Amino acid sequence: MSSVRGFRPLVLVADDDPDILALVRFRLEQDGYEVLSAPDGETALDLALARPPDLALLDVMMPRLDGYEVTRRLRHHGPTAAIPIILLTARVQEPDAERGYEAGADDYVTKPFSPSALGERVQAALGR
Amino acid sequence: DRERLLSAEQEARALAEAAQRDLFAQNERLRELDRLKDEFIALVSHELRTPLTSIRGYTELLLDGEAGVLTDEQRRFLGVVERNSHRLLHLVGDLLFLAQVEAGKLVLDVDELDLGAVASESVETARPQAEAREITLTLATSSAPVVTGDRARMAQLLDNLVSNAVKFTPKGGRVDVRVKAVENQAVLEVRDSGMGVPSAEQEFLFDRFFRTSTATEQAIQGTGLGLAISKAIVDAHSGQITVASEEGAGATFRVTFPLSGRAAVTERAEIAS
Repeated sequence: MSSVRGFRPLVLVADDDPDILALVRFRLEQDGYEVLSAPDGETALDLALARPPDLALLDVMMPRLDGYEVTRRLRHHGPTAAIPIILLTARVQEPDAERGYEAGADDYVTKPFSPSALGERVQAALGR
Repeated sequence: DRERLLSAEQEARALAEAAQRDLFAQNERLRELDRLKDEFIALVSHELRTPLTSIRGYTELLLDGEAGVLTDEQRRFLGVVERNSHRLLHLVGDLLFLAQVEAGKLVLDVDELDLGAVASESVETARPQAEAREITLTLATSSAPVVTGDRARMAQLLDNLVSNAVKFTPKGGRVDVRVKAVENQAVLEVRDSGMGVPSAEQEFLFDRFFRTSTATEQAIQGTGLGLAISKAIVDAHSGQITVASEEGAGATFRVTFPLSGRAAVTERAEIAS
């Protein structure tokens, strides 16, 4: 008898602030997602390449690889080329948002953000 | 004689080349300084907003009951945390805005705007505050003046002026907002029946961190940045802002802008402080 596994979308979250990382993880797990978390861009990319997520939430200012660079590389990698990518950032100036879209991101959320509002954006991006 | 002329010429040429090198080096330093200003603003923004994200985020989770049912008192205390972190966030935004203006980094997203429509939104936003204190809040637009400007900044200006008017008016008073076109200008007036501004203090009113003695005496909450920001926005749109007031007899803030098509509003505003 095969067990029925519910489909839980996989979300990759990357942020160098451990409190914010935990905040987003909590919210997403409460909302029923499976979460992969990374404290920096390089780890985020390694995780994504090993196991392609259905959506990526990336902080912009991170050590080792910033959010823009991770976005670019995800876009150049088959399995992640078309996934929704949302950038999270405390950089609020207009050119920063443009840079995000140019790198290939779909959405740009400024900090501080409401966790439930973020959850809604993730839901909308995944078309659930 | 000829030799003296030649050597003088060589000397002059050498001086000119040295001056050119100095100028080039100075330009490089200025570009670097400019880049550092950008980085500073971005860094400060990041460093202040990051902890606020956790403060506001976890407070929201608690208030939403995600960590268990709250007692009334717990809810109340968390409400205090929420309100104050909101104040802090607002202050960070104001300071960063002024830093951007200071550094000549304010970028305007320019469009054709109906000033009356912008005023209407700000008035509706302020209405709950006004109603809670039984303040009559009216808006009259006698035409639809169109100005060239940044919608978000214009809304910020209107929000500042209208919320100030409500804040500084005692219970039962009134705030009237008027938008009209006069000759080749768009005119906005925000009049309140509040505590007014002592004439001796009016020249300082638009200075950063300036708070009137009356505001301080009555312990009205504020940072003194609202009018400095308002003036910065008005200046960026080639406008003028003035105040007419008598202590205890209300205040009228008058803002004028060139009507659309009359003046060019540049996309990058450099304001001399």
